[in-house]
Amino acid sequence: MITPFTANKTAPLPFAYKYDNQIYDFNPYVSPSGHRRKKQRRNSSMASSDDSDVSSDSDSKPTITLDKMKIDVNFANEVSFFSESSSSDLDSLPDYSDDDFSPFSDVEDGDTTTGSDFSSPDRCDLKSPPLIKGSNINSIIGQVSELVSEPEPEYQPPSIFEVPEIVYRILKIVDVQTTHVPQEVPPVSRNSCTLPKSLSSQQLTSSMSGTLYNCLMVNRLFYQITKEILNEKIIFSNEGHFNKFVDVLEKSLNARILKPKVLVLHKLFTAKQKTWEILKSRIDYSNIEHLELYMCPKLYPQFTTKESTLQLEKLRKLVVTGSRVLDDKFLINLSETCCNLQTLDIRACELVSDYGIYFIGQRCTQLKEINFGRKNRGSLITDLSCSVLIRNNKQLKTVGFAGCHISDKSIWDLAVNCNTTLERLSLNNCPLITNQLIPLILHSDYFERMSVLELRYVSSVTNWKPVIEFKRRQEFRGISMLIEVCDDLNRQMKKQELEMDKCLSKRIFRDIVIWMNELDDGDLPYQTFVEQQLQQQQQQQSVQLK
Amino acid sequence: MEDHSEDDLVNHIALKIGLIGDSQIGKTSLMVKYVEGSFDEDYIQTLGVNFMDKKVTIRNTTITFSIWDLGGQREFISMLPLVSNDAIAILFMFDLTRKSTLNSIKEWYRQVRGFNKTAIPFLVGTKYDKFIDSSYQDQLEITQQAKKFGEAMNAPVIFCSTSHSINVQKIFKIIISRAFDLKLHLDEIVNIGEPILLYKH
Repeated sequence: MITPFTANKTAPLPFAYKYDNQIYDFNPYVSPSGHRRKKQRRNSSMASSDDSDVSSDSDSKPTITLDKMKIDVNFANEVSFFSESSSSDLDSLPDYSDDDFSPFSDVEDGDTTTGSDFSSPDRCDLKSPPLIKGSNINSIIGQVSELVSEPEPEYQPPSIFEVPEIVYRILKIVDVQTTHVPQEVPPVSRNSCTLPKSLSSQQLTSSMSGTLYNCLMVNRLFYQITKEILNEKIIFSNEGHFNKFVDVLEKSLNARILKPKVLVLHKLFTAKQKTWEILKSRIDYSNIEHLELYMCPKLYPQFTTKESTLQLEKLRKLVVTGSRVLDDKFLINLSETCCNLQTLDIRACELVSDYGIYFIGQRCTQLKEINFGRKNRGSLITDLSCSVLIRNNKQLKTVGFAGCHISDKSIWDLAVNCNTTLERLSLNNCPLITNQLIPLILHSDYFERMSVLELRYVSSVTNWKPVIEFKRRQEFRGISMLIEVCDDLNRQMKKQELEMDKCLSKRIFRDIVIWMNELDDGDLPYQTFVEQQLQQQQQQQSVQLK
Repeated sequence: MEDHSEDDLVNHIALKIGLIGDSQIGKTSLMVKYVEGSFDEDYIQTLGVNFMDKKVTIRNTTITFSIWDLGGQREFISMLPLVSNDAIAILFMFDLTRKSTLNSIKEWYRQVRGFNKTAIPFLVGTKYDKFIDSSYQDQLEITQQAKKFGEAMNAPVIFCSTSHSINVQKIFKIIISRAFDLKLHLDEIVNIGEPILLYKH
């Protein structure tokens, strides 16, 4: 597996702006011949499946037949086509003079009499009767047509792997398919039904990653474009690699300033604030959309310099978890600079309190996913800030209040403001939640889209019947509902569920027994049947007697 | 909110029942009779599989009988899994006026058990109204044979007449009582010549 750092290590390739630019804006009709030929050779040797390339001249390509046909059929158009484009077109054709494979190379060398642009028609003379050279347009057409109809290798259109736009698309797809932001695997101890899925995706990630780095080594064009794509996403999950990357950034003073869209630092436990300062000097955050510092406890993500406040209008997703330095001041700054924030995940940032979240709730109105979950110091986050945030963000889908000291008030605010959007709600370890509100709002059928409800260690909830009924209703609607609870509560819930089922089946059976034992069920009783038969027989007999 | 109250009140039960037996016995007729309450003398051969739902609502409970009927021709045996898989009861049906159809039950039973070992088997004789016109000797023979088969299969034995509505509803009541092990207050009919109703084993 190639790690992010090795990719950066390959950087010192010769960089000549003009040269590389030419490759990048490759145009088969204007590019100088020599350079192009080199590339084509490399290409044909790469594509070894193309037999024609190997057997004949390296410049021959199947498309040449198409050109020929066009000219053969549209003879009338040919004049204008060739007379207009001859100079430039022929210039751009491969120069045969230094081509060892060309069957005409000898002739070319010996041909000193014609120094005109139409040196190539002269070559045709060898195989066809000599034609009159000069001003007669017809003779030129003749010569040209002769030339074209010869099975001589000519202009080779670029392969799709030489068109930067196409290569860009290809590499973009490689990026989308193989670049994964590292994610935490849920702990195995949980008996969560989502576990197997996330495990399998993790395996997939490890087997596929690195493909983009291999693309760096294909050729210059691939290198250029891949690097551009790689620079959009800076993802590190290994401290060694990250430190080397920062070192390189620090040393290469005149390298380009990076403008990433994604910056993810995953579990860099020892990364120091100094490295962030270096990053800050080399990275332009104006394009950033997704910033993640997952379990990097010592990094304080600071974008603004003292002189200017940078507006991070594109930032949609901010994940800073397990930070020991993130504080309310950061959140206040954030609320001023990132008004379009949609995801805010500050789990286990225990310095954060109501003060910072209040500002976020006041100024950010686009939030869809929030997670303030924490283990310690839950009393710092209360209804004071959360209900303000909920009232200003009515599209919340995912809400994590695990361990926070919120009360039923915030839950009620959620029910009122985010009734139709809320999908996932975590209230693990919330000590102030009571048995009153959750059963009530679930019974009243709020949260019609909810699919995950976490209630671990919320021991105050004892009325499980509405919760179970809600779960069944959701499943009836086609939403597979997951209610995450701890073992103790799970036992309670299971017990309640069993009792409900018993009660239900009792009712059902009572109904069925009534139905089963109804006397008049539509069947003809045997007695009646026999009587009918007898009557019929008597009738028949009486008819016969008459 | 509506969902809620409805869901609270109405309990749903769904049962799948398969009808198996030789051709021209009246499997489709029985199904149509039970679901729609109508009877048609004309014979229409079942090509493959027929399927109908019968909903019975009692107070707060709705029972849905999903009735699957397999064409009696041998070529449809490939569709047997469709009918027998997941079925809670299989009705092995024969024509009371044709002894051969009773004898085929053995083979049908063997085939069905290959796919579904848990379904409750039922032995159902049809066309009881025609059966009573046959000779006493024939009636005796058929009835005794059917009882023997029923014992061997541990299956209730029921004679019915679709055209005269004899024992049609009873079949499905007995299915329910067997499926949920519920007490059914219904007298058995055991005498030869009468529409046999044997279900208390």
